[in-house]
Amino acid sequence: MTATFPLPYPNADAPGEDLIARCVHCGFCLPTCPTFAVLGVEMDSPRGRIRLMKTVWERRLGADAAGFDDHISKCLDCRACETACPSGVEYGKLVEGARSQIVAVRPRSRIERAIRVAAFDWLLPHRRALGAFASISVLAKRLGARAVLRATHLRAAGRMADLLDLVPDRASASGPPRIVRARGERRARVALLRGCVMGSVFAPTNAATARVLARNGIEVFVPDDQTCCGALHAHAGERDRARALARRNIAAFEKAEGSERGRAPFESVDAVIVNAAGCGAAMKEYGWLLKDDPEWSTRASAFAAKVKDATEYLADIGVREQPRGLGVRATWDDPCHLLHGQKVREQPRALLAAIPELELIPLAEADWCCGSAGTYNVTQPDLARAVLDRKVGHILRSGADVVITANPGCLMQIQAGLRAAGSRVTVVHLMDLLDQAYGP
Amino acid sequence: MTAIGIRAAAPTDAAECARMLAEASRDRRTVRVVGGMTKSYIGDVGDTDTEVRTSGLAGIVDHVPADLTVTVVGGTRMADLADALARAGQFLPLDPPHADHATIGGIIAANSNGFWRARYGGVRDLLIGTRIALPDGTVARSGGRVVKNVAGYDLNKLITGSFGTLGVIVEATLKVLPVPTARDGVVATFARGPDAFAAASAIARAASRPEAVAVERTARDDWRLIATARGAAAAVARATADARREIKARGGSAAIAADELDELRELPARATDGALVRVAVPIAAQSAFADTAARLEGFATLVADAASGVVRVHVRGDDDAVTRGAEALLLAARMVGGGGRVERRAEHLRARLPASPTRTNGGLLMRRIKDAFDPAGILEPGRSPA
Amino acid sequence: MRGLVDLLGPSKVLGARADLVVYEYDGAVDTATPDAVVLPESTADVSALARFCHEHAVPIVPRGAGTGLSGGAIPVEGGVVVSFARMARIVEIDAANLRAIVQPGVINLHLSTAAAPYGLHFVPDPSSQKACTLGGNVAENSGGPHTLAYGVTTNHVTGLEIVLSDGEVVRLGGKAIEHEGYDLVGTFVGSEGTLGLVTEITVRLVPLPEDKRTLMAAFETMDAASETVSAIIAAGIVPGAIEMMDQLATEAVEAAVHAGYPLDAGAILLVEVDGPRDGLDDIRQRIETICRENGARSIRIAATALERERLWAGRKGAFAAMGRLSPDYYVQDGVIPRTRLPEILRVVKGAGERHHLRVANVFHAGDGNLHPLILFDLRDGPEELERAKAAGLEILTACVEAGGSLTGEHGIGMEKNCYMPLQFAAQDLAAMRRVKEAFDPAGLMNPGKVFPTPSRCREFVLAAAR
Ligand SMILES: Cc1cc2nc3c(=O)[nH]c(=O)nc-3n(C[C@H](O)[C@H](O)[C@H](O)COP(=O)(O)OP(=O)(O)OC[C@H]3O[C@@H](n4cnc5c(N)ncnc54)[C@H](O)[C@@H]3O)c2cc1C
Ligand code: SF4
Ligand code: SF4
Repeated sequence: MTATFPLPYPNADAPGEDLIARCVHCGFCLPTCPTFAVLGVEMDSPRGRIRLMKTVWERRLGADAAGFDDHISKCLDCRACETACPSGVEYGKLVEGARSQIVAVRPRSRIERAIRVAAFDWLLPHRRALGAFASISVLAKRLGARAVLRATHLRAAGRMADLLDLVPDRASASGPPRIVRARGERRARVALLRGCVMGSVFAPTNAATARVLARNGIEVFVPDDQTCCGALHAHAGERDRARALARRNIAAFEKAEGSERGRAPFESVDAVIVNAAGCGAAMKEYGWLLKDDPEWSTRASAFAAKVKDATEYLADIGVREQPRGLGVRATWDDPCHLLHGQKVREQPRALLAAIPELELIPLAEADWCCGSAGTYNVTQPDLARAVLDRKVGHILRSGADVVITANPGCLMQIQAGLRAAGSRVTVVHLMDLLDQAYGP
Repeated sequence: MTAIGIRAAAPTDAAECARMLAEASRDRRTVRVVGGMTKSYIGDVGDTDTEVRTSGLAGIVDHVPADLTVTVVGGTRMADLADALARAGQFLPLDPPHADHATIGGIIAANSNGFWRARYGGVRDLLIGTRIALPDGTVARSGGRVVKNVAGYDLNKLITGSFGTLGVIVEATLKVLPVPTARDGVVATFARGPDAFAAASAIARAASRPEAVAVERTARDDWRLIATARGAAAAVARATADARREIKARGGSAAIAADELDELRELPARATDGALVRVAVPIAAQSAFADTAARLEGFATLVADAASGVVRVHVRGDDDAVTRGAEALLLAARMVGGGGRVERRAEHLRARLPASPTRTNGGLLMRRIKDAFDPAGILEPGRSPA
Repeated sequence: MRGLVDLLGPSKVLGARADLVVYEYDGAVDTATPDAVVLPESTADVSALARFCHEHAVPIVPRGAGTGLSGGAIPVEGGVVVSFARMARIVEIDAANLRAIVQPGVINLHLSTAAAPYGLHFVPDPSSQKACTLGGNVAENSGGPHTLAYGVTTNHVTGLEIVLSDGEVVRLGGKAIEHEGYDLVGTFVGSEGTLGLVTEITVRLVPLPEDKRTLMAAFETMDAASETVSAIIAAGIVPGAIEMMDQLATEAVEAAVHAGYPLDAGAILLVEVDGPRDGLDDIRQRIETICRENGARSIRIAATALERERLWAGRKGAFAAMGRLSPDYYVQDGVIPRTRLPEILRVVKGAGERHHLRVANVFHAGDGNLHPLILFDLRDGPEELERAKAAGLEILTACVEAGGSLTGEHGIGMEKNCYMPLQFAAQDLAAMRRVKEAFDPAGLMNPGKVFPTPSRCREFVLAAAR
C-alpha cells in the first residue's frame, strides 16, 4: 500500500507543506463544505483534500493520480472551509496550488487543451471577444439553440446548453465613461476594474457602480489596457496564465494612476474598486500569486493592498447620500469570494440596511456556495446542480421577490437556477440595486 | 423472614463477600442478596439455598465535601448516610421509598428512585463508581471517585437495577449536593385527570425547574397534583408562583403542600394486598394511561412521578379482577411505548401473576450478560431479567 | 472488497488508494489505513455489511465525523471502516415527550438547532459540536462545558437501535425514562464502538434555560484560578459551566477568533450560570465576589447574547486553534477530584518542562477534567510524538494516583488502551471483557481499542516493569 512516487510535486506552485501543517484535522470544516454535504465522503471534504495533498508530499500518492485530480477538481473553491477553520488554514491557496500541479503533470487530451487555450487565452482576457461570444450566445438562446443542443442527447452538448442558460438575456457593452467625477465635495479617488465578464455582459453594473460611488463623493476612473483579473485561470490551476494577466493589470493600473504626476505608484489612488467578488478575491492575492517573482512581488503587494470590493469600500467610507426607499422583499446571498475569500460580511448588510423600506429577509445558508464556480458547471454538472438546487430551495422558501448578491457568476447561476425552477424571483447586483434606489 | 433451613451469612468485607459467592458458585447453591430487607417483595423470589446479608458491610469510606462526592460501603443505610452528609451541610439528592431502612446497595440494585429524579437525576445519574463482588470470587471496580469518567465500560449502569443478579454491590461512590436554603410546595386538586397531567407537564418543563411533580388519584378522591421546589429563595418563590399559575390555568385549586410527597412515595410499603403495578411510559402518555387505570375494576390508587413518567397503580379486590387489571396495565404501558412490572402482589397471587410478564427488548443480550457474570446461575434466580 | 460491492452496490463502498488514505485519521494523532470504507444508508445496509464481515472475520470500525481524540475510529487492525455520514436524518422531534430520534450521523449542533423552535435543546455540547456526530457522542459518552450541571451524553440517551457484529439488529430502551431488565443503553453508551454499531438513537431534549449570565475572570496565576473554582463549588453553587484557560491557550484563541480574552493573564475562567431569571443575578454576584476574593484582577460580564457567544466561540475553538501555535498537538483528558487541581496543574507544567515541550491548558475546571495540549512538530521527526506521549503519560499517571481517571470524555481508544492497567486491576478489566463477549463474541467490533492488546502494549508493559 505504500509504494512511493519519484516526485511529489512538479513545481514551486505546489500546495505548501507549511500551509498543510496548519491543519490539525479537527473536522470543523466538514459540515460547511457543499461537496461533502452532497457526497458524504471524506475525499470530497476540505480535510480530506488537504490530506490528499499531504499524501502526495509523502510520496504515497502521485500528483498525477486520477483520484487526486478527481477530488481536487470537485472542490468548488468556495472557501467556506476557510471561514470555518479555527486553525487559520488558507485553503484557497492550497487548492489552487494543488490544481496547478495537476495541470502541470496530467497530460490532457488535445480537445481539452484547445478548449483551455480558447477559453483562457483568447476569450477571457479579451473583452470584445467575450462580448462577441456573449452576443452570439444570446442570439443562440433566442434562436432556441438550447433545445437543439439538448435534443442531440450528447452529454457535452447538454452541458453547453446548460452554459447558455447562464448567459443573461441581455448583452451590452455600455459601461461607464473613463472618468466619473464625484458629486459634491470629493472624498476619494478610486480606480475601477472593468472585469472580463462584468465588462462585457454586465457593463451596466459597472456604470451603476461608478454612479453610486460618485454620488457619495468618490471620483471613479477606469484605466485603459486593463484585462481579465485571472481569477478563473488561478482557480483552474493555470497559474502562469494568471500571473501574466496580473502583471498586465498591475502595469495598466500603475500607468493610469500616474495621471496625478509626481507621486509614487498608488499613492494618489485611494482604492482599486472591484464589483465582482471573485475578481476582488483574486486581486487581493496578487501578492501571493507573484511572490516568487522578484521584479513584481513588491509591486503586486502594493497593488493588492489597494483592492477593495465596492460594497466593502462604500460601507467603510460611509454612505453620504441617503438612497430613496425601495419597497421590495429582498434577501441577501453572500458571494463565497466576498464572504469567505475576502472575509467581507457586514458591509453589504450595512448598505442594504441603508435603503429605506427594503424588507430584508434572512436567507438560510446564505453563506453557502450556489455552485457557480468558474467552469464548475461544465466540469461537474451533477454536483453543480445539486448545490444549486439547495440554494434555490432556500431562496424559494424565504419568500423574497429579489435576491441580492455581488458577483456576476452567482448572479447568472442563481438566475438560471430560479428560471429552471419556474420561479420569477429576480437576481440583482447590490450596486445595481443601490443605483436604482438613488434614481437618476 | 428467613425461611427455615436457609444458611445466612453476613460478610464483613468485600473479599469475604466475593469468596462466599465463589463457594456458592462452586457448590451450585443459589444465593439471595439481602440489604435492608425493604424490597423483599420484588421479583419472583422463591427460597434460595443461601442468603448473603450486607449488614456487615457498612460505613462511609470517604466524603470530600468540596468534591461533592461520597464513597460508602454497600450495606450502609441510606438514613445513616443522610445524617452524616447533613452534618457537612450536604445531601444525597435521592428520595427512594423505604429510605429509613433501605441500604445504598439495595437502592442501587433495585434502581429505586423517588420524585426528585426530575431535578437531580436518578440512581444511574448519581452513581459514579462501584465495587462489585462477583460469583467468580473477584471484586471488580467500575468508574471511580471523579464526576466525569469514561475509562472502560460503565458497569455502574449495568449494576443499577440488576437486582443482585450479577453481583453484590460492596461499595459505591455517589454525587452529593449542598443542602439548598429554601423549599416550598403546592398541592392542587383537579376534577379531570388530563387537566392534572397537563398542569404537571407544564410545571415540569418550566424554566423555574421544580424539584418534584407528582400526580395522585385514589378511588375515592379527585386527582391531586403536588409540586415542590428547592433552591435559592428567589428561585423557589418563582417556581411555586409558576406552579400556581399553571394549576389555575387548568382549573385546579391550589393550596400549600405539607408532607404529601412522603405519603405518595411510600405507596409500595402500603400496597400489601392485591397488586402494585409499576410502569415507565413516555411522559405525554401518562394521562391516557392514568385514565385507563382509574377505570379498572379494583382500582385503588395511582401515583405518578409526572416529570419522569413512572407510574404506580395499586389494584385490589378479588383475585381475578386484580390479575386482569395488572395484565391490562402492563399491556397498556407497552402499547404506548413503555413497559413495566408487577412490583408487589399479595403472597397468594405469586403463582398466578408473574412479576415480569413483559418480554423486554434485548433479552438475548441480557441472557448472555447474565451467563457471563454468573455462569452457574446462582444469584437471585427469581429476579433475573433474562 | 468485491463481495461488499456486490452486496451494497458501488456507490456505498470505497476502495481506491486516494479514498482510503483519507480515512486514516481522526482528530488525534494515531493513523492506520482501512482495507475498505463502507457508507451505509440504512440499518439494513449496516446489518448486511456486519453479516458479511462476520462471515469473513473482518474487523468492523464505526466512524462518525472523525473528530475523536483517542483514535477510536482508526482501523488499527485493518478491516472495514463504516462511515455514518449518509445516515444523518433527524427522524423525529417529539416535543411532547421531550425526546428526539436521530440517525447516528446527525451532527450534534444540528439537533439542538432543530429542537430550538420548540424551546428545547440537546444538553451535551462538546466543543466539537459543530462537527461531531451523535453516534460518536454515544460511543464516547461525550461531555462539554455545560455538562457540569446537566450531565453528559449517557444522562441524555434513553433508547438505541444497534447492530451487533453478527448483523443482528437489537432495539434497546425507547422514549420512556427506564426499561425493564438490565440498563443496556447505559452499558452501551461510552463503549467506543467496541460493542456494536449504533443505527438509531433516542435522546432526551431539555427546555432551554430561561436566562444565562456569563462572566470571564482573569487571574495572575493558574493556582488562583483553581482556588476560585474550588471556592465556587464549596459555596454550594453549581454553575452551568466553569472553564479554565492558560496564557498560551488564550494566545492561540485570540489569534483565531478574537474573543476578547486578555492576553497577559496567567489564567482566565469562564463561568456561566443559567436557569430561572429570578435569583440569577444574586448568584452571579456571589461568583464575582468569590473571584475577587481569590485575586481576580479583572472581571467581564457578557452584556449581550452576541458577547456571550464570542466568549464561548473562543473556548469552543480552542483546540483547533492550536494549529496556530504548532502543527501537531497531543491532547490529554485526565480527570482529578476538583480539589486537587492546583497540585496536578503543577505536574502538568513540570512534565512539559522536563520534555521540553510547550503545554497549553484549556479545560473543564468545574468537573476536574483537564485538557493539557502538548504541542509538538512531527516534521522534526517521529520521536517528537514519542516525547509528547511520554509527557502525557506522566500527567495521566498523576491523575490516576490522585484518585482520578485516564479520560473524562475523549475515551480510551487506541491511544490509551495500554494505560488501562494504571487505573484498573486485572479483575476489573475481566469484568468489562465479559460484557464485550456478551455483545461481540466474535471480537470483530473495533478491535485494538479500550482493552490493552498484547501485541501493541508489550513495550508499555515492559517499560512499566522497568
Ligand atoms: C477540536 C475538538 C474539540 C473537542 N471537544 C470535545 C469536548 O468538549 N468534549 C468531548 O467529549 N469531546 C470533544 N472532542 C472529541 C470528539 O469530538 C468527541 O469524542 C465526539 O463525540 C466524536 O464524534 P465523531 O462523530 O467525530 O466520532 P468519531 O471520531 O468518528 O468516532 C469516535 C468513536 O465513536 C465510534 N462511533 C462513531 N459512530 C458510531 C456508531 N454509529 N456506532 C458505534 N460507534 C460509533 C467510533 O468507532 C469511535 O470509536 C473534541 C474534538 C475536537 C477535534
Ligand atoms: S477546520 Fe481547519 S484544521 Fe480543522 S480539519 Fe478543517 S482545515 Fe483542518
Ligand atoms: S473550498 Fe468549498 S468545496 Fe472546496 S473544500 Fe472548501 S468548502 Fe469544500
